[in-house]
Amino acid sequence: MIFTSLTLDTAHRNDGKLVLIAAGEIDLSNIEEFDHALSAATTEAVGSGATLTVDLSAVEYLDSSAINALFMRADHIDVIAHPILMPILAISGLSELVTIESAPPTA
Amino acid sequence: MADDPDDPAFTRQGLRESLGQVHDGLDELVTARDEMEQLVRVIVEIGSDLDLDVTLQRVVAGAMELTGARFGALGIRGSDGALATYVYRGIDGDTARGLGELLVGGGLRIDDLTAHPQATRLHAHDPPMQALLAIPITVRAADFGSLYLADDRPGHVFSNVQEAAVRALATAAASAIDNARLFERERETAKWTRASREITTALLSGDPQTGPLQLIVNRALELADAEQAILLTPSEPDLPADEVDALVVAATAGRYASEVIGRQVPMAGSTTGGVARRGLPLITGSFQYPIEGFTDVGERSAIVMPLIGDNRVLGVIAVARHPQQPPFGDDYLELVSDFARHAAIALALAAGREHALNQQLAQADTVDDAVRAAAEELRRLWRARRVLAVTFPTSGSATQTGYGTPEVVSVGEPAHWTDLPSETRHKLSALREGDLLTPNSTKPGTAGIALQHPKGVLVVWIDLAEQRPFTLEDQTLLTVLAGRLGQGLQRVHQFDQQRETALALQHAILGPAELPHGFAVRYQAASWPLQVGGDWYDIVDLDDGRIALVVGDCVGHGLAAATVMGQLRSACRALLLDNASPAAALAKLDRFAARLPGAQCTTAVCAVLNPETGELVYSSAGHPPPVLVHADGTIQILGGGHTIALGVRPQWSRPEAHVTMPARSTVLLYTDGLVERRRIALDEGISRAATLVQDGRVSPLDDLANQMMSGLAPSGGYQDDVVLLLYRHPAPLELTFQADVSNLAPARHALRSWLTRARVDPDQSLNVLIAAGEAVANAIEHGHRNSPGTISLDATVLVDEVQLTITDTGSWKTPQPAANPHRGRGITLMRGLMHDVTINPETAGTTVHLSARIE
Repeated sequence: MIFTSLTLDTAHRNDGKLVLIAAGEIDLSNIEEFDHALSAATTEAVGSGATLTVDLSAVEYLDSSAINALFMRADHIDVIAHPILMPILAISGLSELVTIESAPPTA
Repeated sequence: MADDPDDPAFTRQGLRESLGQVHDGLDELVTARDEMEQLVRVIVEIGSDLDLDVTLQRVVAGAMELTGARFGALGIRGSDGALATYVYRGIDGDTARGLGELLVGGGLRIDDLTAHPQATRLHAHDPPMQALLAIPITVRAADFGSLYLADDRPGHVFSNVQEAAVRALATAAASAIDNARLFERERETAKWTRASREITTALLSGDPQTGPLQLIVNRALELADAEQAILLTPSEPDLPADEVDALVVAATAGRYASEVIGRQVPMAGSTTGGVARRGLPLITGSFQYPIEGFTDVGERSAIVMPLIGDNRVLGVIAVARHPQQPPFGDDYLELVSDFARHAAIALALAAGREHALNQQLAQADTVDDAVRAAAEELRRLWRARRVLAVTFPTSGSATQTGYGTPEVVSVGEPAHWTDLPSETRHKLSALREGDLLTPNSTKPGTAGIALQHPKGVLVVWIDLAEQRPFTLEDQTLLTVLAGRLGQGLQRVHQFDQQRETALALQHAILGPAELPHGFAVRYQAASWPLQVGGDWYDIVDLDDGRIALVVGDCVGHGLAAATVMGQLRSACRALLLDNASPAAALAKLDRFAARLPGAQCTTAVCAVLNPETGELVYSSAGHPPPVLVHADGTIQILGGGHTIALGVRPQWSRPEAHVTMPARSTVLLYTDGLVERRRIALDEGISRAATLVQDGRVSPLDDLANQMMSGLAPSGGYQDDVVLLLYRHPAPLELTFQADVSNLAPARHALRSWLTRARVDPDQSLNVLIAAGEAVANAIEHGHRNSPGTISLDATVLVDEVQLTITDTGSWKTPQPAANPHRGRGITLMRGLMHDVTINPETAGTTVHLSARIE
């Protein structure tokens, strides 16, 4: 059985900011996993008095459950997204609450 | 009875008569009493038989007994008033006729005949007649004839008492004769009525040995106890009565048959013509126009009767008796005219192919349709309030005789078997048990008849709108129609069965019952009722995932072409499974067709499609070219890979051509029946078809197929077999999966790759994927919380639009964002991403339609 593939990593950027890097697809089958990682990373970033950067450059698909999860932490996150996701993030209204940066298109 | 000697009335009467006439004592009284007893007995006897001949015999015998006479005779007057026939006893016919020469008047008593001047003929009798008593008999105020008693014993005379007794007997005889004559007429009427029915039945059974006309003359001859009967028909049968010029002797029975057959008589100025024109029968001894072999064989009494039905002269019957036979009496006219009327109705109906009932039966496809149509027709015909047609099916089981539940068809007002009054049900059941085709109309205003039904017995029951009697004529008509109906139902039934068998075979040799997705096919055979002809199509899933498409056309239509077609189709399918090259398959089919009688010159186009890539390889054997219509409307005639028809040159090399179907393009394969029209060039027909595909490229494929079949149909319908096969690339996606989150990714991947094939650009693809993903997620979350059901996802691409349908087997809950933090924006998102979203929550499941415009 094919499950939705998703990899989640956290890293500190050169400037010390915490980054949650997701790659793959996010849907109902793995939303708990994403939500859990997002929650932990947000808590960590907030604890150090900074915002969390959620890097979705390598996410090819996300649904409303992922968007909801992002909304829940809207005050504490920035988002980097693949350009193809920009319309969805705009339609959902997330871009009105969260700074969303378009990632350079991948080759 | 007045034979009791103690009865004072008897005694007084006996005394008065006896004393007044005989002047004698007690002995006389005793004699008178005995004579009275005898008279009463004789009178009772003569009235005891209804047969006229027997009655007349008894009158003579009784009179002789009363008077003790040795000879007795009864002379009966003919229609001209002269004594024509005699019943006699103790003497010969000549002597009887001699008695008849006497003038009887009010009665005649002669003691010595030898001295009587009128009795010369009787003097020849040896010994000579002495005494005579002759009393007239008057029946219904008409002179019937006279009763004669005679004796040759010397000194024997008839007394006053005897005369009185014979007069009493004559009065009694008159009423006995009247009764017997009435009875005889009744019997005669019944005989003719029965003959009418027999003719009706025989005409309907369609016995080829005896034509209807022959049947009528045969019966007329027999019934009229005649020497000769002829039937004349109009020389031009289709003209109205007043335009017919001549009558021809069309059937004959009895003597001179070979002389009279075929003779012509003018309508104008002939006796038969006059009867035909006026429509009234007549009795005559002389004809105004000679008919050789009929009018020239001596003077005889003849009845001429018209056969008129449907306001047309169907013919004239002329029946002649032998010159020695008694001439026809006037009362005969009524009998034969009834007979002629029924014969005419039967004849008109037997000949009337155009009758509405037949038309109804001819149009019926099933026995049930036919029964209903017939019931409606009968109701119309009799302007009936209601017509019931009740089928009593014979029980299917061999061990159980009897009938199943009756099936009721009711026109005029609705009715079910269980709702019918028990009296009606009883009547219907009684008819079922009785003789077939025998009408029952004992109750005024109703009539019923039973007839053969393919499943058992059909009983038809008519309730007239008014309470009028169902006449004999009505009954004849009903019998005729019921007979027709029975035959018609049998025919429809046989036809129905044959057609069902044929259909099963047809479908077996025709294309696949279930088409792969993305195809639309229309097939129409020219030869109704066959639903298969020489054209065929086939769609074959090949082992490598490709799909072979074949459309072919054998020479001719109908069953012969269909049998050839079936073999070619199977051969072609086998060849394609063996080698998925259109050219190779057709080359091998070439050799097969060359050896199969009737398969030469078959044309076919064979194509192999890669449904993933849209690549199409095709080869045509003398077949009109497939048409490819691109999403932008560009028409491309696929004229490549074309060479001669099959079975002509078995070693012929066959080319094939390649084309790649762009996304959202439509390919059309067809046979010439779709496009070929008289006086229109084939190219023009093809281009009309192509234009319709072009116009319909925004329509779903099935709609396009319908539009084309109706748009290209000639005004009178297709005259040739027609195949229409459409494929649009890519074929619609159809997914069905368990409502479980683990199926989200596989479904999304299948949809993504289909969207790629449909050339939907990546940005729009993602929008479609997310919207569809939301619908599926909702179905999983809300529709199947308790028990997992199934979800189906269909996607179709049109030229400018992608349409998706997501169906689940559960009901959606009202979105409650607070209850599930992950969800709640799904529907908003769907609406934001798609151009149109409709959600139809039904109790059985929810259907979501999504559609997005595409570039």
